[in-house]
Amino acid sequence: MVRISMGVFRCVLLTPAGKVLDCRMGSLVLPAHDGMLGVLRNHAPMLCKLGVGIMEVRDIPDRKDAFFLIDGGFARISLNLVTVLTYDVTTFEGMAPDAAEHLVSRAKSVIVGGDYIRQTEQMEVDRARLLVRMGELAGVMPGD
Amino acid sequence: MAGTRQILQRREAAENIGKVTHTMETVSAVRYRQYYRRWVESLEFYDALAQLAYLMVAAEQTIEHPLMLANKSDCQAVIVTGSNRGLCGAYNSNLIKLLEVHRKMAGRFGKRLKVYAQGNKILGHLAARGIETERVYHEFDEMPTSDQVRDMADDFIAQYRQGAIGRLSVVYTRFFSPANQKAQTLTILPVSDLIDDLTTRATVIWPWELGFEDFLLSPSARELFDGLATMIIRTALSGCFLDAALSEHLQRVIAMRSATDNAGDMIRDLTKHYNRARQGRITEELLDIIGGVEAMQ
Repeated sequence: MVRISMGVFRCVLLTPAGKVLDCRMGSLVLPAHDGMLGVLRNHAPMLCKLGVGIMEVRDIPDRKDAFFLIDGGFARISLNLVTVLTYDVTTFEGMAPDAAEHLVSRAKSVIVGGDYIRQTEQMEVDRARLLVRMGELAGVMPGD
Repeated sequence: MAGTRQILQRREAAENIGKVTHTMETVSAVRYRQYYRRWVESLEFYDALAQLAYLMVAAEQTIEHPLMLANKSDCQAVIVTGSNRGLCGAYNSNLIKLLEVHRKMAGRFGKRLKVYAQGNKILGHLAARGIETERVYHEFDEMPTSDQVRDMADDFIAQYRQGAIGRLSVVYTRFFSPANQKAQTLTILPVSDLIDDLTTRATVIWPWELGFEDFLLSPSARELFDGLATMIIRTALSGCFLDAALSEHLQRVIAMRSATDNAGDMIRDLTKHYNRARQGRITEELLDIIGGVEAMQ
């Protein structure tokens, strides 16, 4: 893969509970309010509203890429410094592998639960449609 | 002069009081350290938020936003954050004095004052004075959760937009530093007053090479400001509760340390009195014995 980043720049991720990240990196992907926003060195000054999504921090010297689930906020890009302000951050950084696995497994069960609820609701809606159809066939018309 | 038994009883009572005040001091010191760490860690966020807010309000083209402008409502809302427990010096009484000033001012200017309260000590005062509260925050002890702050902020923002309130202030004890805390009023709405406060207390200065016009905006300035104003209000409300809890525990530490020292002094004095009284009794008994022996001879 060809490296498109031309150099490093600094990013600071801040929440009311404290500083979550302060490092230099080659590239950054932010979850903007209207889609993903890629940032490289010498990006034009920008103020951007963030949505809910994953912030990807890539090409950090001497360490692995980092990922942060952020929940809205703002990003200010100026003079090769990206300041991200957000209410809440979830990350696996500094988390024990067991705790990270537990978090992912819980998230999976939520997804499975959501799918089950959607499936059950869909079955109920289908059944209701069939009942209405049967009522039409049998000439059962409710008062309203 | 009290007998030795009475002195011993008084000394025991002072020792018990000393133990209680020392325990309260320890508990508050632990809570204070927790809150203080949180306060220090939040400073950078406040500074960055202040820079962003300053950048937007310093734009050449003024951003017109309903939360920036004063409205014509004749009602003002004030949140008073006191403590649930006493023994923290003049912490609550200073807040009560400040609230009285707001009540008098509102009365003088013909405004209605809605009081939102937190803390049993403040509630006790309001009940004693027959002051009605619009809402009491029973759902949290000292610090609201982020969801509770969000709901609170959204409620006040909605009221301000509808014109139900013309001003929102928080009466709380502000924590400037471990050596300086003061009961004061922070105006949250209109948000222009809050931005003024936020930018003047921020410790980091904005790099002046760039102005608002140099930035690309996504979305528009007005939409950006809408989100920013909400974030500032939520952060400020949360910060007020944190400052209040921090100040309360620090003032309790100081009050309880002083009480523990006083109890120690009292124990020392009572021990001296006890020894003197005991020695007096021994001398008296010896004199009686000597006197008796002399009489027998």
